[in-house]
Order: sequence, then C-alpha cells, then structure tokens
Amino acid sequence: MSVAPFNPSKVAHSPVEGEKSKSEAKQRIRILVVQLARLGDTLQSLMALRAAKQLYPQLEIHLVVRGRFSDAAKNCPWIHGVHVLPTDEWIPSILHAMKEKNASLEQVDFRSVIGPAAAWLAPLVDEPWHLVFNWTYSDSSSWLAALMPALARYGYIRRKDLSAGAADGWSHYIQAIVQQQSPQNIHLTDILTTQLLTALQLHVGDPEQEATSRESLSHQFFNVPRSTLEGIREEGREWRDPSRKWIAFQLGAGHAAKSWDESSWAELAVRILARHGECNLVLLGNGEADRRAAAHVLEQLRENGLEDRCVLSLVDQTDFQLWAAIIGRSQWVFSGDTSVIHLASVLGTRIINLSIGPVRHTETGPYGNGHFVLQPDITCAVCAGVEGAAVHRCREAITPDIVYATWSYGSSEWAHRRETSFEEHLRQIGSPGIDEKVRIFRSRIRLSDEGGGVTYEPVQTTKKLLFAEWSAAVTGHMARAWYCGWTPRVAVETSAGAMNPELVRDLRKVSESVEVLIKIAEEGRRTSQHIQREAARNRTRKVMRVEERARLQELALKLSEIDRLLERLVRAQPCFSPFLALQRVMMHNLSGDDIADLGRQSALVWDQIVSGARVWREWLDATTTLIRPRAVQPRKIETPSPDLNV
Amino acid sequence: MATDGTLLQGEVTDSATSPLLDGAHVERLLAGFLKALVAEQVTDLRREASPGSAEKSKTQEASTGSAHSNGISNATSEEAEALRPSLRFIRGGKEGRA
Repeated sequence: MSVAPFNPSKVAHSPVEGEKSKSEAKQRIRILVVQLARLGDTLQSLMALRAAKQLYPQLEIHLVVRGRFSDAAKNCPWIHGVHVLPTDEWIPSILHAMKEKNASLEQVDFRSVIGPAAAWLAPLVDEPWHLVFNWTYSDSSSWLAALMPALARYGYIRRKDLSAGAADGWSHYIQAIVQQQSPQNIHLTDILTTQLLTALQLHVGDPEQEATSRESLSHQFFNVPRSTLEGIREEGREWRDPSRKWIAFQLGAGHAAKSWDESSWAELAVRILARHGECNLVLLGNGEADRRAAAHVLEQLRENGLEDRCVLSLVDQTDFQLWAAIIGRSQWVFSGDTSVIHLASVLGTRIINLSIGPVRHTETGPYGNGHFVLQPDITCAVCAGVEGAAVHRCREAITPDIVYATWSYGSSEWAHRRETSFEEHLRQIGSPGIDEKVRIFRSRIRLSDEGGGVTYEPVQTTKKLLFAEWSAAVTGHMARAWYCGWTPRVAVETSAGAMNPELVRDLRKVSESVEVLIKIAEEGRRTSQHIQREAARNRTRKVMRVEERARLQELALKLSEIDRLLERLVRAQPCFSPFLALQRVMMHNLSGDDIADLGRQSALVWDQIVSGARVWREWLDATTTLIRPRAVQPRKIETPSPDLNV
Repeated sequence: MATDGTLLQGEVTDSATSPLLDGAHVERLLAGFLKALVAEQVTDLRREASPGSAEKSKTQEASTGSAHSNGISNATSEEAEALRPSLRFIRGGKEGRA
C-alpha cells in the first residue's frame, strides 16, 4: 500500500504538542470521526461534534460514514470533510464470489478488494490526525480506526497483535455496560460529547472564554434552504401561515418491533384533527408498511368527515433536505425509536416518543427540554427475551388515548405551567386512569452542577420508582465520578414520594452484598499491589529466582480466586454485573510491558471497582434515609391567654 | 480512570506504534476490516430478510448496529487470544439487539 509513513514531526509543532498559547490554539486541529452506523447514530455524533465546534472553532472535523446515511453530515456546513465508505463498490463482488464458490467468509480471498480499499484510504492517512474517534463501536470500525495515524485514538481499535482493544474509559463503559444492556442513565449523545470534550481539553487545552459564551442555534446546524418547503404541492402556502400548527407523524420505525400499528396512528390523527382545528398533519415514512399506514390514516379521516383538513402524505417523497425542512417547521413530531427523534432534537422541534419494543430511551431518546417519552409499563415477553414469544404486547399499552393525553398536556404547558398534575389533566379531559399501563417521562437538560446532560423526569406522580431506574441512576453517577473527575450530589433526583415496598425490599437485599463487593475489590487491589511490589524487586526483569516465581504464582492464583469470588457475587446479585463486565474489559485492556506494570494497572482497575462500589453504598445510605421513620415533634398547642379585659 | 487520569487520554501513539510503518501490518488490518465489514453486511441482510422485519427506508433508517447495540467479536490469532483470556468474555458479548 502506497501511503506516506506516519510522521509525528508533522504535528509536533501543532497546539496539541506545543505550548497552548492563544495564538497556537487558533491553529487548526484535525479530528476524524468514524461513524459507520445508522442515521440516528450519525445525528447523535453530529450533536456532539457541534458542541465541540462551538467551543473549539479551530476544529477541522472529518467524518467517515456510509453512503446511505451520509446526507445529514453532507448538509452540515461546519463539517470539513465527509468521507463515504464505498461499501456498494466492494461488498457486492465479495458476496457474489462467496455465493458462486459456495464459500464461507473464512475462505474468501480479499486481495482483489484490498487495492481499491487502500486507494480509498490513502487521502485519510496522508497526514496524521490530532485525534481519531471511533464512535461506531463495532468490529469492522475497530480495524479501520487502527489504520488511522493519530496522536491519540478513542474508541475500539486493533492492537499490534490484531486483538481488539480500547484505551479510554468511556469506551470501556460503552463495551461493558451500554452494549451489555445494563441499566444506566447517561444518554449516548452525552457520552460522546463528554469523551470528545475531555479529549480536547487534555490534548488541546481549555476552550477560549469567548467560545464558551456563544449560543448554539439550531438553524446553523444544517444547510437547508428556506425555499425547500415551497416545492410541496399547492399546500406549500400553508407552511408560511404562522396560525397553523404542523404535526408530523413518522409512521415507521425501521424495525417492526419498534413500530406502532396503523390503526393506532389513524385513531390518533382523528382525535387530534377533530378537536384541534388549528392543526395540520404531515405523514412521513418510507416503504410499503408506511404507505399502507398513511393510506389507512387518510381513509379514517375521510370516514370521520375530516378529509377537507390539511393533511399531507409525503411517504416516500422526502429527501434529507425536505425531511429536515418539514421537521424544522413542525411544532411536534410523533415517532417511535427512529432517527427522526434525533433530527427533531437538533432542530428544536418537540417530540412525542413512543418507546415501543427493545428500546432504552435513557440512552437514545429525544435530546433537549420538553420532549415526552411514553414507555410501556407491562411485561412484554418478546422484549424480555422469552423463548417462543413472537408478539410484542408492549405496543398495546401505548394507546391513542394516552398519546393524545400526553400531547395535549405538553402542548398546553404554556397555560398550566406544569402546576396541574398529569393525573388532574387526565380528569379534566375526561380520561382518568388511562395511564395505568404506561410510564411517561419529560426530558430536561440538567444544570451542570446537577450532573449535566439530559434526564427524563417522570410525569406521573403515582408511579413507583423501579429498582432498575434506581440502579441506572447509580451507574450513571459512578461513570461521572470515574470519567468526569467530579461527583454530583447523591440521590438528588430520588424523592421520598417515589419510595415503595418493592424498591425498599430490593435495596435491603443489595445493602449487605455491597459491603462484600467492596471487600472483594479491596482484596483485589491489595493483591495486585503485592504483585507489583514483588515483581519490582526483580531488577533484571528478564530472569527471576525460583522462589520469586513461586511467590508471584501464588499471588496470581489468589487474584484468580478473587475473580471467581466476584463472579459468584454477581450470580447472586445480578445488579452488580456491570462491575464484573467492567473489570473484565479493563483487565483485557491492560497494556503494561512487564509484571510490575501489569500489577500496577491491575490495582488501578480494582481501585475503580472499589470507588464504584462505594458510590453504590452512598446511594443506598442516602435512599434508605428517605424511608427511615422520623420522629415527629409534637405540635405545641397554644392555649389562648385568658382574656383579662372582661 | 478517576484514580490516575490515564484512561481519559485515549490511546496515545507515537512513530513506533504508527500502523503505516509496517506494510504487512497495514495489509492485515485492511483484510480484517473488509472481512468484518462483509460479516456485518451478511448479518444485516439476514436481519432484513427475516420475517417481521420492516422494510428499510433509504434516507431514514436501517443498516448495521451502533454504539449502544454493537458488540465486538475479536478475530485474533491464537497467540493473542492466549495472551488475553478475557477475549472469551467479549466474544460472548451480544452482537446486537433484536
């Protein structure tokens, strides 16, 4: 492959290596982001990158994306380079060869494609990057990221021995906790943003003061001409009428399990248009299922005498620019878990997110203030992974009635200022108790002293706090303590009113085990430090005495036994599985050259487990304080003083 | 990691670890990349072809996993695997959500 060798001197005079004076900081900083996943992930990446660009205007951002999901990035004027992975050129020939020769992947000869791949890669490796971020967190992307010369790389990579690895803490967190689907409550956009800003702070320096006060405006995000909407039939004139409210329904969700059924969409459309004369509706989507759903909505509107109302069906008719223009002009978007919620988040359009199927809205839900998420509050066998289960019952919990009620509550906030409870609102619209099978959340951007990022606050006052929600908050708190270097207040979002007997029972079960966890981790740390000390005595680092070797073996066996103890504890208390997963990922990523160094790093791993377990203990203490009975001071009854003026 | 800060620095490289200095290594990385890409594509095609899977849109959805759903499967040499026993754990990780 003919690419220029990596030359660190090319970047040695850059602000990354040199002193970080103001003038130097204004030099360009080249970063490359590998994002080979879907459009939703690309949009979340763009949100993180925009935040960084705001703080570091000197950033030169390049993105590697797949062709079919490149439109969003191509429409961002602040992205310097969009490098499209030409999979359509490479992969069909390989698949054809596999089919023709009836060969498995292992038998395929990739040499014919390596040449074109190297040619595509050449401009990307011509000059070293300051920073490379692999935000795909997949197998293929780890190989690609490993090819990129950079001063520092984040995310999955391949090491010299071709094994997979990741050197940074947030990537360990994603691998061990997010991808293992353990409960945690930090949004993916916040993880990416924090990882990126921390990297910039460490390798580039603090942002300039003037940059921190600049406001980010959603209209600066995409380069979508104002005239885009004028192309939509004669109804286009309606878009300019400020008295009209546009509501967008994104009918499909990319996966059947996450999609709402067509009769529910139709019922909701009838409900909104019949009661709100100021509203217009636009139907969006792609493909056969969405076409069918749109036809059903239109048919139901006709049957209910609402055919004269302004309803646009644009299924299969939107390119990215038109899609973004419509979402940007709409007041509300109703959608399942699909990329439109990220697009609407970017464009400042409020969202009603129907969180159906295997979705974790705390990680990928709508971002910003004032969005609503409806999550089924019933056990769905398919979502729970029960063998043989085929029908998602969870979608039945989200009825058109409760979606309408949530929207009407959200859209009238300006009037009731959220002083009216959701339950009271249900009574006012004549639908009390229809929220029994659903949990409803409202998104809010936390202040930085509360931990920052997006959080989803319960809208209903009657729902109990679940142990999974509680442990997700604890895990999020641990991550901030580990990787942000500061700790928000404990249990700040847990109130005494949310306590319930089930939660108390679960917390009591865990409270003893957390002490065991701390003891195991402390023993792991001590043993690792012992290994480090023993190994450091050997000055040659190449030859050791038999008795030295025996001592080290004994300590290594002890460390293995501690590993097994942790496994046993997690079997008994599955809520501690994030600790085991993280310990294994981190141990996999030890990078020491000798036993002493490995011992030192191993001790740091155990130290992280100890600090995380202590966060659990603090949360348990703080939460159980809320439920502890308190002595109530007897009210002093004041006896009226005798009236002397008789 | 909070305790010593090294985990915030990412993988800091220098000329000695640059992938481009070793042509054979570059070729191995490229081959690994293409192989993994095809494997992901095959999985994706199977998922799209499976009954109940919704039709994918051109601009608005679809394709391979993401940061919160991908696992990573390690195609490594036996030697590397022996050096890193925890690979088995990562191999056992989920390849993606339903």
